[in-house]
Amino acid sequence: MNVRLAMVAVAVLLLGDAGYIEAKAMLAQQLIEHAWNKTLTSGAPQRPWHWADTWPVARIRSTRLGSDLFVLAGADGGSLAFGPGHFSHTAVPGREGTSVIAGHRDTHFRFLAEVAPGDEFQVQRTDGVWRVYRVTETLIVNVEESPVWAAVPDRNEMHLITCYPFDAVAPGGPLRMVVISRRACQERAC
Amino acid sequence: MGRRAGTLISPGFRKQRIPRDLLLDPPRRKRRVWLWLAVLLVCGALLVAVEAVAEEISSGELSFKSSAGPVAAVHVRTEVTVSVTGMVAKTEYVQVFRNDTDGWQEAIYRFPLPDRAAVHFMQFRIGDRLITGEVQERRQAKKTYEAARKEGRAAALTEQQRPNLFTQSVANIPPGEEITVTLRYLDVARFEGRYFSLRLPLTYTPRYSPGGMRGDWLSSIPFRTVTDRRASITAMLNAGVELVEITSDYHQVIPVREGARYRVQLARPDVAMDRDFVLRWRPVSSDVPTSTFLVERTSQGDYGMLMVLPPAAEQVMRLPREMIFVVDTSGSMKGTSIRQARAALLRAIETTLGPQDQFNVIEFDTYHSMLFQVSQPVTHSTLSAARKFVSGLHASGGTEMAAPLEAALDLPRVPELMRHIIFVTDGAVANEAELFRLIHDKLDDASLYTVGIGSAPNSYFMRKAAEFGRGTFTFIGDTSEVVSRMDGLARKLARPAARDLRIDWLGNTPPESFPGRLPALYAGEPLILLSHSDFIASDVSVSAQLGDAFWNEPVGLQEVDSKSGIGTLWAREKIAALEDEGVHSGDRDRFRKEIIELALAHQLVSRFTSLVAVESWVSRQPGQAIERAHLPGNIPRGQVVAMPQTATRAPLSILLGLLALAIALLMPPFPRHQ
Repeated sequence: MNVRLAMVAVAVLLLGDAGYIEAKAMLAQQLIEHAWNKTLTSGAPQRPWHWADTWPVARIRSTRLGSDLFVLAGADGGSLAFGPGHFSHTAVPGREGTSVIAGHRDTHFRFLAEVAPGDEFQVQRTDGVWRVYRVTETLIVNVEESPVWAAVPDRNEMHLITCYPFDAVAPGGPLRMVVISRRACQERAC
Repeated sequence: MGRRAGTLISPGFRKQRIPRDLLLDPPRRKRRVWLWLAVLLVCGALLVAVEAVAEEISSGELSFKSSAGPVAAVHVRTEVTVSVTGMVAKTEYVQVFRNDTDGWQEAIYRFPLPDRAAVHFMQFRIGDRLITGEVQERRQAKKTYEAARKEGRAAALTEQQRPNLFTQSVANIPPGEEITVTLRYLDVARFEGRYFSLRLPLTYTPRYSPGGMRGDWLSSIPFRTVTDRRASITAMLNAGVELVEITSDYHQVIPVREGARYRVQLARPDVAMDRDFVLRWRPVSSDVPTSTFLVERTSQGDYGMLMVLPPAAEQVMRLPREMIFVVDTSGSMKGTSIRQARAALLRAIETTLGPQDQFNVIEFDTYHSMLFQVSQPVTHSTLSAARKFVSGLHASGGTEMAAPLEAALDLPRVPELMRHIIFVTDGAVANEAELFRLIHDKLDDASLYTVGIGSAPNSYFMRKAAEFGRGTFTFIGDTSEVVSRMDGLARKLARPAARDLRIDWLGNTPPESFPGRLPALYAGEPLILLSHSDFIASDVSVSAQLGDAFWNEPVGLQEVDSKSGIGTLWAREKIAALEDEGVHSGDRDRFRKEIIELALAHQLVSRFTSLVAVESWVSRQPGQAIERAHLPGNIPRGQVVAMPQTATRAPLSILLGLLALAIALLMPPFPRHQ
């Protein structure tokens, strides 16, 4: 038997797997951008590929942190592989109320490692309107103590949730970081 | 490192040393270490693979376990004791608020009750003092409570938010102590098929307000962290007849016979309040209930409760019909609910459609879409299109219910077809009144049947919408119930309802009775009529047209004692009727004065009246601060609100992949020969 060859094969499989995850996360966002542009012109939800069970509901940009993401409907494993996912119970991003969005710490939400209070997110809604959200605080939550996060809907906030710490290797840890941002006032509207 | 690697891979050098068999054989040992490393790595890789598969399985369905360990906070525990006599259920609903903090606390807790609950009593206990509440006009009750809170007196306030959703506020709970609030309410058991049933909601599904989640009722509830609210439940069944079966739909119960009654307890001391508790009991077939007329005599006059149970009619010629299936695919239906809805629809399409019928399917969340522009005849191809449409439904988005309902009601009519609308939803809406009005205004001669889905459907909406829609309501709380419940609905649709139901009051002056307009009666489901007049003297007689046959039955008057609760139930029904009339007239608050008068006379909690209790002495001194704690309820089972899994296995794969590569490169070559 050739252990060396077996090891090479295992290495190829594992690195391939990691590459596949990263590539899926990156390429999907490009397809989703296309769907988003169609949503902006048609006003109706657009599936990024025809068998998709999700569609973009918002765009979130951060100029300082250099990120530009398309948020997908639904925060389950199915959508998170392709983009940050919006909890459909919560307010639509950019609209009245608090919206909650989850993303993977090692793909789309990697940039949150650098986030700090005062940072701004620009959020585009399906009707094309942009809203600005300013980060007020970041919290670390232990899932074993509070397995559910839900928003107080009478505030105009956006909560981004990702796994924590960012440099952990194995998935499935108990900690989550929640980045809380509040809508900034524009033309009297907050 | 380099040198060691050199020694390892130089076979010539090795051979010059002492013969291998005489030594400990370090090279082979080192090879063995590498082999072990390789095996370990393969194990690691397998773990990654398992993770990948698990991710595939668990995606979309998140579970959570409850938090462990005591947290310094206000806790609430619920203890429910139901006592059923005939059809009337009296419930003692006890909430124990325990303050585990070092400071004074005020607790505000929102909880659901059955949608017909007539809450008529509240009392709280602090230490060994008992304080009984009284009904006041809502604003006045709030003022009384707030004043007591400020002055440092223990106080409790019970308010109705919606007909099936209440708020309990408790002020000045001393540090480390408990305040126990006892509520009493009356309810009526349901009889359907051959079973009696009683539904006790233990949590509620967050509701959707059209136009997006506005503050509304949710505003004061921090749903931020999970809780593990638990309830213990005991039921006493004084059925008066021999029972052959006592079961609970979603919980394990143990019935014990105690003389003429049955005591039913949970198999465990308590249960998580994450889904409705439903108790069912079935009398032996010879003891199926018959029509009864109970009369309670009080100083305010006589109150009657007439139960009419027409016999099942013969199967008659089936009239062709148009079936419109409307299904809710909003975000609150996520998880098990949408699967139940799909299964229920597929079953209904299979069982309710005949060859002369036409049908259509409408799905809605924030937007709605129709399977067909206009209803289509039942053919092989339309059926398969419907199955495909239904199988592809998934849940997300808001609950904009008015537009699809309107679309269903506005579909062009085929004159010779009876229109039936089957509405599948969890009813997680906050604009019920608007929807009832829409149904009332646009229904014409169609009928609307509601099918309630999920662990905690809004049963007030289900019952009322069906009432306005002249149909019936069905609940499905578990995927295993889909077939039996949908077939029950199909049977109801197949049999004719009792038409032209008439009550002849004989020697009595016709009393004021509710429901005022007698509804359509379905086989095996009784009508319950609550009446009030100064004096009810004699028996009554009931008649109806059942298919081709005329049915007529005298019902004898039976006097019951003054604690039967019939008077309270009558008042509750009258308030509900006044609320409905307000909705019809377009001014919800039109009968505010009448409702307040009635609620005060019968000591009932309503939209305009609350129960409030205040202790006479001051327990919290002016210098001591008080904190307000909003106690969240449990998230209904099957809903996805849990913290997400937000890390991929990519970093682990990279690490293990690089290790595998390192092993492959650094491993000594194995000798060709053995």
